[in-house]
Amino acid sequence: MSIPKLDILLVNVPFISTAYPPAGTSALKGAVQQHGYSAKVLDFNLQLFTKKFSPDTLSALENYYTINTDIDKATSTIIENFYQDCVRQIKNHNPKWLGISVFTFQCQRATNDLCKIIKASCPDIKIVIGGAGISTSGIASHKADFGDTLKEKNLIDHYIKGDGEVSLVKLLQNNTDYPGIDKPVYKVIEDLDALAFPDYEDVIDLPYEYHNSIKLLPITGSRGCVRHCTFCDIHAFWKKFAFRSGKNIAQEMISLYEKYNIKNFFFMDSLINGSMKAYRELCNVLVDYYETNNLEDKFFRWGGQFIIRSAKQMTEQDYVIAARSGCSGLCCGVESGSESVRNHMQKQFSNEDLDYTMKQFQKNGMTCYFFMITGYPTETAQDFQDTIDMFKRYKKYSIDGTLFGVNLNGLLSVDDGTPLYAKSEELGLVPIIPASHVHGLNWQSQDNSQLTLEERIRRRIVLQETCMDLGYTVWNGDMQLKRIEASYDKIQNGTY
Amino acid sequence: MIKYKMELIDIKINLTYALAPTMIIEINNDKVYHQKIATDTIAVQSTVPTGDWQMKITHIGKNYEINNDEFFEIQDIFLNDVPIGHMIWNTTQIPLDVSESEISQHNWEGNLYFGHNAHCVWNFTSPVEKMLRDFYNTNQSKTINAQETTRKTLDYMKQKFQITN
Repeated sequence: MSIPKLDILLVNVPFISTAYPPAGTSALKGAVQQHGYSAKVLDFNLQLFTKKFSPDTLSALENYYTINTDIDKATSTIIENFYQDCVRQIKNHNPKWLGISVFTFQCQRATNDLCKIIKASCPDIKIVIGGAGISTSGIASHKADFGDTLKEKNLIDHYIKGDGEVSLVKLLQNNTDYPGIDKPVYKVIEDLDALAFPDYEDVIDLPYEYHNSIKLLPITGSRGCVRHCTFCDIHAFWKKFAFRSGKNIAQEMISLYEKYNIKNFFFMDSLINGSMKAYRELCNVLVDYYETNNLEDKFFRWGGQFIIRSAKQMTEQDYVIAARSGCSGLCCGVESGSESVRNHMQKQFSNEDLDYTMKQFQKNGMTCYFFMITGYPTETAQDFQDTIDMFKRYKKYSIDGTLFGVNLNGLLSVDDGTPLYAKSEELGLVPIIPASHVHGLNWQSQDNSQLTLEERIRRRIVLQETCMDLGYTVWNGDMQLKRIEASYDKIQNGTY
Repeated sequence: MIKYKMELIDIKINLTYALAPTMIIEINNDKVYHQKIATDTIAVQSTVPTGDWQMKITHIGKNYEINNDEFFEIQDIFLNDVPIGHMIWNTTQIPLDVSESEISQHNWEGNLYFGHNAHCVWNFTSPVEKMLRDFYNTNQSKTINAQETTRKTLDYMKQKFQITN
């Protein structure tokens, strides 16, 4: 008896984090099912990275996918067997379409490898790829270069740029003229409440490496951002801030709890308090749900990226209700301790606003971590000292765990699609490497001549040492410093 | 003779009160505050030696016949601007002039409502930062998903870019 055709098999490929189920494929499954198509999700990435390999082998596999390293014969055999197993599973599901989620550029190698094998062994299966990783020039780029490359090589049938929920359905309906299908310009979905909830049925019981073994699911409450930070390329990608109602988000969380007993959620949004109306509604609906069902406060725990707001915009009562609803573990893009630098960045909050926010977090038992940027083009020695002083002042929040970590990141990178990139000439930025163009770390400021690449690196190192000496938990410092070193070396020898 | 390293500590106490209760704060039996309360935040400084130290707060001078409504209640205690969290409850109130029968009517353990002439003692250790980090479990750098930050890499970078302290 032949297996009935599945409309679409959606797969995740290496390399992505195995910390919790990926959001994209399950969101697309929910979206296509809403229109009557059958779908299934397989997480090939998880299958590979939860096998019992030695740490060296795991590292070799990760490097193969993320930084395109060469591999030895044994690792090559592992990868070959992995691909064959993927093909066997794909054939078993007998799909009309295979949808590959290219979450970041780190998924490109596996996508390329798999497409070659599948096109050779199952030529009847149509392949569509999508995700931020189909662009090698950053999410803001309108060049869908990876998608175009694979399409030109006939390794895929189509690629989808931007929002996938509507365009994938259009593709299944054979409407390839729809914006975003094989085209760089796509249509932004404005009514997010109309979308079906993600369907995690295929992945909920898989062995993700949940932090502290606490099951967690991702939530997407909004797309885009309400702020216009100069170093960020989000507005080139999401032209408009679109958000779900708080009630709709709360309903998704409650349904995931009632279906899978999930109580922990992480928001994938650029910010969870972009719309204060939706944020307040979400907190209130959750608290009402706890009260109605005799559940204690903070029954759910949820967090995500959070923008600093003034006391006028976000009142003490907002923090009280947010804490009661379980909002915590918030990622705050503070970027600098200097108001002057933050003003130039268009961050739109003062030191007073930040002090107020931290005080409210502490008072209400909410926790946060900071994202920082060192070496912004206008950063003076005094601005940098302001950042050092801020960390000295906030040590108290590190001691009681209110500020539970700091991500210092690499150095400021001038990326395509950002206002900084667009205005680099106006800002007096010139490339370090002669006859090249300003991009990434390859820039210096004619207006701030003290801020050489070496000085930026020095500040980044001094900031990390200061934070470590003060007792902060600094995340991912080793990898960030190694990347800075690698970029520096490339700039020095002109190969950046 | 043993020489102790001394640590300067900022102590802040948030409280509510009625009338004008007199409060005494003693650190290792040294009086650092002795006043009628007229504000809901009291801030004092003291030095303590490395190791164990003690803070004693006393409500004194209440005349039950004239000012029976007099009280203060401790809401928060901060050491060097850090709240001591649940450690605030690690004390038992000792009433000074209360009959045996009345003593049995109240729960004195963790009781921060000073309605009688009474005192509470908290036992702490210095360095205070270490004590608080142990309490809040924030004394060790943690990594998430193997996102390491080590002194080794930092030192390597300092050497490569010739950064001296």
